[in-house]
Amino acid sequence: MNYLPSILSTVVFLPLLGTVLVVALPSREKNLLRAVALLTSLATFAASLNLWFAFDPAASGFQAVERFWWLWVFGVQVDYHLGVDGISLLLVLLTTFITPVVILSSWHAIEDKVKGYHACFLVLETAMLGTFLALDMVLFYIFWEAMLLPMYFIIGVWGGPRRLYATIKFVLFTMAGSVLMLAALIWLAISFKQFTGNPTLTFNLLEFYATDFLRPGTAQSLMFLAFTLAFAIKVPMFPFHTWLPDAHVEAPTAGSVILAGVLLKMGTYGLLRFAIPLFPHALHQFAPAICILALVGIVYGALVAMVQPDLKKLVAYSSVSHLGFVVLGLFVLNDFGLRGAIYQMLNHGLSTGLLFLAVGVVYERRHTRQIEDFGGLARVMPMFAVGFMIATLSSIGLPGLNGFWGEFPILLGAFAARPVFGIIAATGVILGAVYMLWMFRRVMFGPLTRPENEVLRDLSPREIAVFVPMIVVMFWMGLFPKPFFDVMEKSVAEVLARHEQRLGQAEVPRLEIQAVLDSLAPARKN
Amino acid sequence: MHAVLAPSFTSADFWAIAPVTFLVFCGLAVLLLDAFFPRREHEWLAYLSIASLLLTGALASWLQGCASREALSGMLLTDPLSHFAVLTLLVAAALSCISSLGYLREMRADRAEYYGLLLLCTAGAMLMVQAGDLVMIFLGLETMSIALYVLVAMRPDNRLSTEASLKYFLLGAFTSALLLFGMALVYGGSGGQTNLGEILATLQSSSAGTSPVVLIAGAILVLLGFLFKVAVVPFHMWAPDVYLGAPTNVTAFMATGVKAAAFVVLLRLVGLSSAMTVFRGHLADVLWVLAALSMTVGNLVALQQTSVKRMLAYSSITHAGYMLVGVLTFLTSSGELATRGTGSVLFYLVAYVLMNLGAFGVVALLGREGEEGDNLQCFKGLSRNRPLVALAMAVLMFSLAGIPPSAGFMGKFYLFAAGLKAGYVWLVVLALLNSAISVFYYLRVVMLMYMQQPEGEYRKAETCQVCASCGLALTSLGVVLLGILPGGFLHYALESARSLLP
Repeated sequence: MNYLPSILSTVVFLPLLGTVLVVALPSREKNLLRAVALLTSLATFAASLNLWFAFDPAASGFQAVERFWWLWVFGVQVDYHLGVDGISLLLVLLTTFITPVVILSSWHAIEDKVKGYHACFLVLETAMLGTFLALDMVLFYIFWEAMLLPMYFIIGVWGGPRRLYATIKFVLFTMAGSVLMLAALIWLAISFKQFTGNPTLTFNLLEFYATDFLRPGTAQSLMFLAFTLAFAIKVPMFPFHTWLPDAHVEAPTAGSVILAGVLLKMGTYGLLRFAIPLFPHALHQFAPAICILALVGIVYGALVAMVQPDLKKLVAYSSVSHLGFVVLGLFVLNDFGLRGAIYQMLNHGLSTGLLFLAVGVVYERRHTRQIEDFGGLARVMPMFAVGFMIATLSSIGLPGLNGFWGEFPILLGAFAARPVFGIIAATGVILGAVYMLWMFRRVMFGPLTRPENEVLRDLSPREIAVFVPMIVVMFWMGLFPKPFFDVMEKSVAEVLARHEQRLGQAEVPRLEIQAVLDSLAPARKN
Repeated sequence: MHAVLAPSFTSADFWAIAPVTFLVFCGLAVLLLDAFFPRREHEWLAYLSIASLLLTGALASWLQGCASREALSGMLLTDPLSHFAVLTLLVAAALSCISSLGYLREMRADRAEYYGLLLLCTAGAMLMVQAGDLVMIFLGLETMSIALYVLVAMRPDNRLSTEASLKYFLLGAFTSALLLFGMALVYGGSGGQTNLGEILATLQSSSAGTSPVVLIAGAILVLLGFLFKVAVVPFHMWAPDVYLGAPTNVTAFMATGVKAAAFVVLLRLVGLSSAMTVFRGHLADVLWVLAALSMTVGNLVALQQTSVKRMLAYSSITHAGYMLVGVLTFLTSSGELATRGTGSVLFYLVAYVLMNLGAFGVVALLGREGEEGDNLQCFKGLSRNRPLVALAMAVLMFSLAGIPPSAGFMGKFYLFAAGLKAGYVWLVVLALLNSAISVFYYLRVVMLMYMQQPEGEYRKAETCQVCASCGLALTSLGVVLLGILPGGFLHYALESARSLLP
């Protein structure tokens, strides 16, 4: 199947079109508004499937590229430039998949200002997709910042009691990082211009990739740090994570799901797309330090999650831990680590998304998220218990579910880089099992201690419709991971090859994940 | 060298001053019309004023095509930069006129003099931005300032308004004195020149009869005068009080039109100073410090304001600091990069004018008799009472904070790109950090509007606010449009900036 004409623009701007429609409809027609938003996001998902089927994993570089001249004044050239590769393809699909799920999940949860709510989500979807697909750095920055506004409103207007504090903290943290990134990206473009002698200042990422224009030195290190800081705040990496629990706890369920499912991936995607490929020497210099921060995040996030009395906070801290794995995978700089990290991004989006949805389900019924208020829910809500269990196991990384195929390659990559990294990261896996299963036991099993809990309804058909697609994908990614790994293979190999070539020395150990995958696949069939 | 030119008034001269003359006549006509046809309500005069401002703009644009680059023996420059500045000024004046429509009546301060004086003030500012001669700069500045002193005191029953007027008058007079003294020194030091072009020629040839020390002293004083006018730290003390006390629509014009005019003159003067090679480096150092101080101090103080007018006043000090980055680029680099610095300042000026006119317009819309409407509390729950006004204000606040896609972001992007190119890395980093801090107080307004419940009953306005709302819609749409498709306009700003280089 070939790419449809201007498919990327269609995918990016279809939700914006839906926003216009939503804004034009009368605010009384709440169900109509919801339906329009849902249909728009489903249409976007359908459009993005064309990407999946038309994508050629064997081809190198970016595909379905669209490039138009946008601004060309002041000797500065900014293009409207989109393209997809194996890395962004998966994240685009994750985004288009999660958005309809999220809109469906908040069908009854949001009764106030329904129009604004759905408009925010659709604008957010456009901004997220644009961020993943932009190949011009200024365009990327514009989408990146534009993402902030709808999220600001989603947390601030429809959030919990301390939403004002949470939302301003979220915005300030993100802004603080991203303004430095803006300075660094202009500086980067200026360095490129000086190197090539171009008359204009360009921000074309493909040209930056193709040219080895940065000399090792302080400038490179500063730019790398500015980019990394911006993305590390978004990830969030320890010690820049403090906005995350606040934002998650105060956000409405759907906001938490999008935040955990997609927005946090912006950080790791940015690291992989910009910080890692563009600054090879600085990367080489700082990677061990960043790995150590990631390890601290893994263990710290897990330990803090363990003692949380609030379900949502627990899941939020587990995100810190899981994203620590992703960052570790990225910065050990080998094929295992990178592919595992990308896989783990998807996993985290699905499993944490589903966990937040599950928390939302009990919160809608009981209006509390304290673990001590529950217990024995499995008796009254058997279907919910199954869904929640699958989400929990996926988050732990049980083989057969998607989580395993993220953590396992990352651990292999970490061992290959430095065994001690692998050992510490592996304790994170154990701690993850401890806090998740302990939480699950306290909420779902045991006697029904509270009378209020005895009358809880099980999942409604709508909620089942929310849970089932997520669970199906989890099993699919857990049982047949190969297509996903295949899609990203070429892109990841390019990142690594470029890195090695620019460093000028083959220091990076290469391991072939394919061999392991192939050897495991028949074993599963038996 | 001291030849006195015979006053020869050609038709070209006539056409060059035609727009200003027309505006002055309109201003006088508005005053006279009120005297001959007194009415209780003066809205018809407002429409008349808006129409005359627009006509002046049309006239200026029409004549721009056929005019030479200078007129009145070099007293008046009719280059693209002048034209750009004139149009900006007229837009600012027209929009603040629109925002005054309901506001003045609501405030019981509806007087015909307001419209007449506003037109005269605009005419003065037009002369100032077109001036090619120190004397003309001074004349324009005084015409503008004297009209402003009265405009600020437009509400005689209001203590703050009177106080603001007196403060503005005292500091303005002081500034004028400095400026005049500086001009005298420049005249002496340059061997008897007041024309900017001739001073430049003298500087470049450094012929006999010039005294660099006197010249530099004069240049410092003249620049100081204009730094006062654009309210750069530490010459900013007057701004918050005056902005707060003045009627909101006057504040809107002061913060935008007047500031833009002063910036354009500052650019011309800085261009002149860059020819003094001895002085240039030192001036750059000083401007660097002033820029850093302005953005930081303005920002930090703005954080603590409870009055939106004061907050916008301090934030305008911050924005002046950002724009100084572009001015610095212009000062210390040459060729294309200098043009880019100027062009980005011009673009930012327009963005700034639109954003602030809109924001002050919202404050004016919320003003009721006995209540200024600038308190942060007035914005609580505005999204419920006035959803569209709240939306416009949110757009303007995001733009002021520099969040894309908005004119504020594009302006900053080009400004800082030029600054980085010219090597001001740390200044740009400081500016960016400051814009991150500024997000806090801009978003606080949005937060109050969207995330809190209104307090008490919403007091409906007694007057019709349709026109003022249209003005608001224009500014906020303009801000978004300049954020998404700024290309053509950026090009125009760049072309205008080109005329500044010798």
